[in-house]
Amino acid sequence: MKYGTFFSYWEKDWKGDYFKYVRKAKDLGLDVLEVSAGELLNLSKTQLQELNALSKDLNILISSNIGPAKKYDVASNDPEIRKRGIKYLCDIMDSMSILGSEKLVGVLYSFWPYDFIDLDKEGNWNRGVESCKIMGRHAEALGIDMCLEVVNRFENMILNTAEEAVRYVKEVDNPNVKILLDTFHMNIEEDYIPDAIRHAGKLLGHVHVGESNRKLPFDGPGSLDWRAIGTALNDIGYDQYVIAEPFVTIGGQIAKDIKVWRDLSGNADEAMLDEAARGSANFLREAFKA
Amino acid sequence: MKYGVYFTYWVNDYVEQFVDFIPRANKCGLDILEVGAFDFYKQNDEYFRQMRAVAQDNGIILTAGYGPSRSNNIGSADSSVVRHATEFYRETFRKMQIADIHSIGGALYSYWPIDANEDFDKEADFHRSVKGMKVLADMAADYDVTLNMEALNRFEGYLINVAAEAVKYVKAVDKPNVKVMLDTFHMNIEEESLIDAIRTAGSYLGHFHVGEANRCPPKSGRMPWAEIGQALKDIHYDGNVVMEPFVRMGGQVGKDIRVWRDLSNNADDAILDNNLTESVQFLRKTFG
Repeated sequence: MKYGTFFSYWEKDWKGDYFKYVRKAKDLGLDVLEVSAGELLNLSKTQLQELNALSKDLNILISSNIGPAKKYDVASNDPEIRKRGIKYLCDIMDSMSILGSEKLVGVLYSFWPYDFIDLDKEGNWNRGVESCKIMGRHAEALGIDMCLEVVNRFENMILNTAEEAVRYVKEVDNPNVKILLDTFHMNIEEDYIPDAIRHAGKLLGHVHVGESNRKLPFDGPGSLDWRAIGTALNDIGYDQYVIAEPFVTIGGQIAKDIKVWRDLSGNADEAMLDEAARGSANFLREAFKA
Repeated sequence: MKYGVYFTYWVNDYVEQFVDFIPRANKCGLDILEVGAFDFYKQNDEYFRQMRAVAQDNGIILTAGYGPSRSNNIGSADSSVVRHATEFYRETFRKMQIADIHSIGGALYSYWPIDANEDFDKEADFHRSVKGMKVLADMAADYDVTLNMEALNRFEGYLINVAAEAVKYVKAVDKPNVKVMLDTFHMNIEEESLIDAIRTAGSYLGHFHVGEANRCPPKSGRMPWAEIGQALKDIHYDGNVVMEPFVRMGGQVGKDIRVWRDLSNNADDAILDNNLTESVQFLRKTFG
């Protein structure tokens, strides 16, 4: 398994200097940097190529994360919006191809955060599946894995459990369309987290890790059972990325979207945030050993 | 400790009549039925006398829950809302006393559920809310009512998400009938350690809601029930323990609680009642 962190850990808004963060990932002993996929459309072809070269040079893999805005909702009952959303995610995949990023992850089947105005789950499910089939073919052609994120009930209504995601992804029926399970969301919705992981099995394409309150995974009382989670991942032969998605500071659009209402970082400065990320990844490497 | 259930286990709408649930709670082996106080202000006094009589006949204690509408936000920056809220609560407490209901819990310090598109000023809202709650507390005392401040997860509230924040608030209000309320569903998201959270609340804990992580009735899920029971004993909590399960989709409740899949295993009413009966037996055994 390869270990990494979502760059948003260090930022207040959903954008950042990815050159800086690829270097930081290297300094902290990580294998992967996860970036905001939408931001890639703002980088020129040259910048994407340079970032690709830098990441190869430093041996850092890149995964791309997105919760699409409502105007890009591929499950919308407005066909124009669906078309626009599919084009948006396919354009992102084209940029990812230049960048050399092979994982597109997030709420790709809907929009985020959800506003719970349209509550027709079946309609959104079916339309989303059709859109994912179309996008899946684009992903297949580029060698990119689309990993659909299962999220808690407050953030979307279509995929809240591994069981639902497995059914969904089987309907899409494309080898490049898989599942992303996130321990924060699983801790709310699943009966048992290791069982959810086992249920996803070979369809699990990406993993997000974080404590129940979205702090970095740690060892000790009050933490999730990381060893049981590691055992489940090894049992299903999962060998892809494990990305920490911590949200611990207040202020800015990220805190608003993630609903962080109190500081969870211990008033950390950048150096402290860095050390915490390094320590957490090292802990997980140990806890997830086969 | 006494054990109960919130009425929304059985219905997915904010009903007007609770008396039918009283004998049902009794049949399931419960001590308490928790009702919703959202409509109390508009019912006539006879309604509450009837509720009291039925509860007495069935040996059931009544408690109340309430998630305030925006127009009843005691911490609002709009003074006309605060006035409206104060009158709403005054009438609600008066009627609670008629029904022999002495505890009301929820996000009484704010409104529910929050609209996260709003820009919250947490510090200013905290101070305004504390000020308003002191007034509500004195009113509630006239009617022999305790107010329980519930810590909620981040998606449903912003002012009080953890026991430590609830204790800070309750200390600031500084009234004997304003206490902390914890709920295992919310704690499972926001607290690092449920046990530490319970200990933090300590003697301020006035009400306790229980449920599994995904809001199924307590039993064989992954909430650390034995440790929770021990923590409640350690702080000498001898109050009410109310289950708040949400397992069916549909209705306004299904929308508010965000239930997007059936968690009842297609249970009919008989199975629902059976599960509840087993849950309370499990809690009595585990909490001692």
